[in-house]
Amino acid sequence: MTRISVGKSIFFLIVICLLGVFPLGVGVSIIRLLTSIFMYTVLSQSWNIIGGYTGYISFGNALFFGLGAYTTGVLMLHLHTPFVLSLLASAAVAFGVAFLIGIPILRLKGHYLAVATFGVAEAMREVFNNLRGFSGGGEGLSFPLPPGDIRMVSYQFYYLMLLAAILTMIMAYHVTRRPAGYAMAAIRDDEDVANVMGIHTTKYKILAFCLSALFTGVVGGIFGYWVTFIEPNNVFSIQISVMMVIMVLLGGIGTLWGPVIGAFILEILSDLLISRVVEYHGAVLGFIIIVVVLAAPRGIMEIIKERKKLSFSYFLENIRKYQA
Amino acid sequence: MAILQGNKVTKNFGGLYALSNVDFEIRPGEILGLIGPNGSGKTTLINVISGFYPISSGEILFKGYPIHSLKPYRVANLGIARTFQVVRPFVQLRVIENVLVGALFGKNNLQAGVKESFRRARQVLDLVGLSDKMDFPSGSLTLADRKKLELAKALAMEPELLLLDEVMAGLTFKEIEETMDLIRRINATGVTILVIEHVIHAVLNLSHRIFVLHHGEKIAEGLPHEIVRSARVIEAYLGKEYAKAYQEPSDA
Repeated sequence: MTRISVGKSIFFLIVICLLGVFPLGVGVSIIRLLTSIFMYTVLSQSWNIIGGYTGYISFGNALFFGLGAYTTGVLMLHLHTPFVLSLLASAAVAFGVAFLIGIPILRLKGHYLAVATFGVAEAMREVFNNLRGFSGGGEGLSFPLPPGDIRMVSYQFYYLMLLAAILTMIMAYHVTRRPAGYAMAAIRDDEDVANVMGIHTTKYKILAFCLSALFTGVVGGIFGYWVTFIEPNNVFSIQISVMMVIMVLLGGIGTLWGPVIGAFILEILSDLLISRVVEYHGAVLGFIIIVVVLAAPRGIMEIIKERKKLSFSYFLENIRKYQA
Repeated sequence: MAILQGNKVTKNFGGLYALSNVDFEIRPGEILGLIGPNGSGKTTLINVISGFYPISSGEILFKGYPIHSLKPYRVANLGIARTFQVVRPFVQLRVIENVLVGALFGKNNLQAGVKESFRRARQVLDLVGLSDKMDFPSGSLTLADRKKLELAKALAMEPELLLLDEVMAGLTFKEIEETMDLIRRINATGVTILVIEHVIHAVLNLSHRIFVLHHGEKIAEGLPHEIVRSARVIEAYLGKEYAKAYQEPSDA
């Protein structure tokens, strides 16, 4: 059993305190960047639970993000539900939908699961595009404006997303150290053997999917209130689903800190590229992803942990290991 | 009463009968050897007992309770553990974590916590002689060690009935001796064991009784020294001519 040492606890406390006071001294644009980094930390770490720890690659987790955003939006706008309560509802909806679609869909594996999850998210996007009435259809949905001046509002969302990120990290940490986490790892490595060893595989796959939906739904709700306007095409977006996957791959799949590293690097990079070369932003990002997948397919965490040198021999080793 | 009983167990893949109308019983506390030429249905028998394949007809009773329509994890939770002929470690987990999975789930299925299960896993690794490698990535083990790990994973499940599918194949003579000794020690703790083995001298030495499959049918069952004299068994392994040659002197 690994226990968190005193030194480590103090370190995390200091980091959290620094992140706590950090926004007081910087501009609103930097606060906004950090807020979106925290959001992507939640999204990629959540994806990591089903995709990394359990080995079921989903390309449709934006489904839960969109459902979370719309649940919070509709509740706040039409029922005047308090924001925090709406977020709890978003969590419940995301969790429930993951449970319901998980039962049929998690029978699939590999490419089939990727296509099916992608399909469900796209279908939901179309449903919301065509659903007239309370959700606003393709014209989108405007949230009530958060009270306070711009700086105060940006503080609020910064701390909210930070809290969501910390909670997601705690959840991931605990899951991997409990029987459920070992069940998920066993399913990832060899599902048939896991079954033969007494693991109710269906149950743990659905649990992993539900947990990966939970905070994804919550940050969907926070995101909606933060940007104040959502439409189906940007919350049920394939780009969000893909970002989660890429951040995890970049940072290190199936590791606790990989998704955090991935979210930081890609969001900062993406921000820099948008402000400098907006036309080529997508292309440059795509190029970087190709380089990463070729040079370090197990992500940055492996390079840190195993003290790998980014050399030609490491490149060859990876090519041999991961060739088809 | 038998701990495991099969009545007219049949398993066909289309027109191919991997098992046809096989009756068998495993008695509590024994080591039952299962032998037969390649393709005779030995591994299929383990696959149907462990719930890996559904059977086509017949029934399998574990302590009188029908298990032939249960999912593999339910069979495991009841107290039946198996190994795989081609070893299948959880490659991204460390050696001890592989064994831990067995201790966490298996027969006890979440009765013990993670800490307690780690202790159990360590005990099992001690027993099979892998404790010095418990923190190794399981993918880095040698074949002999992987076979030990396969056995450790099954043992950690605390089974009442252990199904061993060729745990000695590919081992050196000395390793076979060690494994035989280990199987005896496991049996001495009260675990009933079914061993499939191609290493004939090992299986004859180890087993209390032997059971022979050929083309999916049971052709003989009995004590080891009876089995080696059975004409049908010799015929199945070596052909008719040998069987005749071997039979004549004793018939005369």
